[in-house]
Parts: sequence; structure tokens; C-alpha cells
Amino acid sequence: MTKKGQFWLMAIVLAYLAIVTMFFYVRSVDRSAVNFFEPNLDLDFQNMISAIKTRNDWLRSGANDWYDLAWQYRRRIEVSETGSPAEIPTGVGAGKVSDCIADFRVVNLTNSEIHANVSATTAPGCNITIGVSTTPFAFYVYYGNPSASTPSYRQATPQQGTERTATMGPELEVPTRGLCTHFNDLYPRSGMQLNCSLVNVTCPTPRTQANISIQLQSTNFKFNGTVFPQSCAA
Amino acid sequence: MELNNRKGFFYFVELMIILIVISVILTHFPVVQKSNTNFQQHENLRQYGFGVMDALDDVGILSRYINTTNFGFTNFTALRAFTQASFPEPIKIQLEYILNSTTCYNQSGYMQLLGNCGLNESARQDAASVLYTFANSSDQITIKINMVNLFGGQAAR
Repeated sequence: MTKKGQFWLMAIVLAYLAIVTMFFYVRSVDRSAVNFFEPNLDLDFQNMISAIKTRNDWLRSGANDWYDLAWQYRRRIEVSETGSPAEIPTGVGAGKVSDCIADFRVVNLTNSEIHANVSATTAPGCNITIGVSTTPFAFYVYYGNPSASTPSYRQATPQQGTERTATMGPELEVPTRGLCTHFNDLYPRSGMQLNCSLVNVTCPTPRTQANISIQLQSTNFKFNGTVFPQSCAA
Repeated sequence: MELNNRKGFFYFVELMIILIVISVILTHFPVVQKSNTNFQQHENLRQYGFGVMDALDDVGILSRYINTTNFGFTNFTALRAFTQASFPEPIKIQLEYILNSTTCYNQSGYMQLLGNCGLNESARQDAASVLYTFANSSDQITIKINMVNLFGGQAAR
């Protein structure tokens, strides 16, 4: 090809590309072209960031009702029969707890710890053994903290009582990782997935005050870091 | 390749035809649009809806009427009234509440499985939806707001 031929060929190709680019630029003004290839995720991302910021503030505030963020799960349980002691089922599945006696914490609805025993060491079958004199009696059982040690008030061996039925609420995940799991459930096909294994508690003591650190990866951008980091409250 | 010989000329013509064919295909791509509202109108509705929920959260309406201890006791009537009142008259809304990724409440407070939530898409293709997560709770609560602009859209062709 002569130099003149090469020049004109290149010129035509470049002109073509310029025209196509202009066409798609103009058409993308109403986002139609953008949406054709990629759904608009702006509001989804904004929702995630906004919720994480709010959750961080909430965790730092007095409104936070999670007993201790070191415990990964909780379940609300309500019994309507008395017993002395009563053995109340918890519905904790296998694999969530390695040692129920060391791990379980039972608190009332205002987060005051209740001195309770446990009927077994390994789940399933870890029931709460406690004296129930007035009904209805509602409480939370927290579990899923492998580093917890047996509290001083608890018997080191399984304690049985009169078996009672109970109304069990759903298993809730700790608010830090729970939010992350929730987003992954909400946006399964959006291309944005959070890495929930990176959610951690950045304020060690007291653990009820925390920031959420996450990694977010989508098809067209990556976010890795702590959302709106704030200093840990004293 | 010489443009002034026969082989080079046809090569050049072939290239031009390919470029023209690609141009025609690209420029005639149909815009994926299933409703009488276009993408911009959809996006405007979504932005508006998210802004409304964000504002209601900021001023404490969501905190006041969402029962964080027992979500079933949430004042669904008040939430719907406040939300609808935040929109212009022609925009009609429908709320849904997704609780802990397992349960769904409709705007009247009727609980159902998550899979049973959502609009009938074939009936309401012009509806825009956006999610807003209420994070002031140990529960994971997300409000899905579905919006239809009765005066929106464009004439059918």
C-alpha cells in the first residue's frame, strides 16, 4: 500500500469511529444507550453506602440493641409455661456453635444477662435451662462466638429441666455482617457483590461500638475499604 | 496493497462495505424498552423515589413508624400515607418491605414469603422500582417502592 493509500484508509477508519462515537454519545444523553449495555446501578450503590453509614452510626449510638458484636447470631424466644427449672429449646443448628456451655449468652429484652444453664454441649439440642415463674417470658439467646468462655454463674456440665415448648423468632445475624449478607441477597444479579468475609468490628472495646469495613466489587468498579470511617467512641 | 490495482480496489471496497454494514446494524439497534415511559423517565422516578425515602428517613418518619422490636407491629398505614403524600398526585406508589431477606410485607402489613412479593410485571411494565434500606435496626429492613407516573410516558406509535 502506498503512503497515500495508507493515509486515506486511516482517515476513513478514524472518521468512521468518530461518527459512531458521536452517535452513541448523543444517544446516551437519555441513558438509553448506557442502559442497553449496563443496568444503572447508581442508586443501588448509593443505597449500600448510605445504609452502611447509617448502620455505623446506629452501632455507635445508644439505640444499638445487640448485646455484643462478638456474638454472630441471636434468636428471640418466648415461653408461655412456667417451670423450675424449665428446659427451653433454642433452635440452634449444628455447626453454629462448638461449645454451647461456653458460647451461649441469655439476655432479657433490655440486654441484661440472665443466669441460665445449658442442657447440652454441642448443637443441635442445646436448650436453655432456667427457672420460669412468670409468663409470657421472652428473652434473646446469643451464640456464635468461638472465643467466649464459660461465664462464672453457669454450671460447667449440662443441666436438664422440664421440657417446654417455645415460640422462636428467626435467627438474626450480627448487624455488621447481617447487612452485608442482606445486600448480597437483595442484588443477586446486579453485578455488585459484597465480600462479607471482610466485614469486621474495627472498635475492639466495647464491641457494641463498631465500624463496618467492606469490599465491594462490581462488573465495572471496585471499592475496597471502610465506609465513612469514624473514630471509636470511648 | 495498491489502491490503483484491481486487487487493492476490491479490498478497499470490501472494507467500506463492512464498515457500512456495521454502521447500519449499530444505528438500528432497537432500544430495549418495554413500556410507554423511556429510560430517562424511569430513572427520574427511581431517583425521586429514593430521594423521598431518604428524606423520610432523615426526618425520622421511618424510625417513628417502623417497629424495630417486632416488625409486624409497624404502622404500615402511616408509612404509606407519608410516602404517598411526598409524591406529586399523578405518581402512584406501592410499598413492599423486605425483612431479613426471607420475609416480605406488603403495604397493608400482610406477611408473605419473599418469593411472592413484587408487582405483576406484565401488568405494570411502566412501573419503576427502587430499594431503600432502613439501617437503624438489628433487623435488615429494605423498602421497595414501586412507582407509576400516570401522566408520564409518550404516545404509542
